[in-house]
Amino acid sequence: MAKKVVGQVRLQIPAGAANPAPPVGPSLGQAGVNIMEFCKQFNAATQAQAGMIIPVVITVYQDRSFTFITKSPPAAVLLKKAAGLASGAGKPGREKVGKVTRKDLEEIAEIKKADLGARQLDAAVRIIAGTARSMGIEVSDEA
Amino acid sequence: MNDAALHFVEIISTVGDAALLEELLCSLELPSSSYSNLETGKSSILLHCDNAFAAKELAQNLRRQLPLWQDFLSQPVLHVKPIVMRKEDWAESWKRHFHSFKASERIVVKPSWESYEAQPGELVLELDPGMCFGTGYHGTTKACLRLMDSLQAELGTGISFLDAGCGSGILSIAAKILGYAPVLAFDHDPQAVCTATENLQTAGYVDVIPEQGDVQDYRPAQPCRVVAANILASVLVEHAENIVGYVDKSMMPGYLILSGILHEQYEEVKARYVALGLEERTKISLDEWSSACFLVS
Repeated sequence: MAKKVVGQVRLQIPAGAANPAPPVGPSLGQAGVNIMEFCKQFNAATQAQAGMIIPVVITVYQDRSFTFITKSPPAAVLLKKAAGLASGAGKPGREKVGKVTRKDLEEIAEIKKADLGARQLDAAVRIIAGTARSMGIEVSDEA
Repeated sequence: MNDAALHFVEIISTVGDAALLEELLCSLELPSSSYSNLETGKSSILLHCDNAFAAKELAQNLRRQLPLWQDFLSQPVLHVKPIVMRKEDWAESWKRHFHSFKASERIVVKPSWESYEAQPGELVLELDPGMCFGTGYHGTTKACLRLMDSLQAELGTGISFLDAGCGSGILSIAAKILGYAPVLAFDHDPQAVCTATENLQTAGYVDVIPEQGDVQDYRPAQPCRVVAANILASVLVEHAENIVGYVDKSMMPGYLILSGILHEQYEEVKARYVALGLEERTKISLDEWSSACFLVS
């Protein structure tokens, strides 16, 4: 039986640590999703990845039942990891805080391609490069 | 400052751009959440702020930032503005979407947190909507409940019942409440089998043990007088012979409830079963779905 999808909630939640506080509660509450059950299922599914921020997409059906899938970590997290940084620039655009290579971008773009809805790797690389720039991370041409 | 308020900046974009905007916001270390309404095609992206001043300042900064991201987006964002939400008990807030309702002549579906005083003749099916467990609002489920209810009223108690493609187990629970016995259930999805088992146990029906099996090769422990197959039209057509084989023909007639069929698919499904010698007895149309009870003799 195919159930009608009415909406999707997207959240970024620390692995194994979902709880009804904002942003989880307001987002799921408005969509009519059983918040505690989502938190229980999400925490069980992600407890092995403790310390990571996990993007999750929750599909809400007409009868308010739901399913969810976890996605790859945000590009910003992958960029910081590649550049060996704890955080991005305090003044984006004016401050350079690190450097990644073109190859780093391509590797991140490959991971993120599907989640970003980019059909071509080049388009995903362009988005990741833009994300890096806005974080104050310089992209070098070296391989 | 109002303690009963939560402050956010809301960005409205197209559904297609929402995921990318969230990625870009994350690059500014601004974690967000979003709700994409697939019926309107719009996404509401929310950024939580500590207070009204912070929300106003963030909205201004984002209005400056967004044009720099425009190259990546398919359409300009529709608006960026600070909003205020009433603080509430979020763990409970979702429950306001659900209330008790009459699913069939006798069955009333009731969420577990709501009290309901059953009227004479009413049977209450209590459930907690969740991961797999719908609410019984769905047209296909509701039609099955109605057909099961009227058949039981006609046939009496102690009639064997098979829930083919049991999902959350809602029809199996309803069958028990109506007095069908024994009740058998199966599903191809192991997750659904686990959920149905849990839901049946919670409802107190530990004697119903859902099995894992595919429609094409599942053999019930016994054929049943009433079989409900709330699956997909394509599966109902492809495996019609096997599904008919679930019905107990020793006490003629047997009854086969078919559901999960869109209106435009119904004639094809009906023709397949009529060709196997079944006769359409009752047909129900709810929302975009057709469901029917066939006589097997």
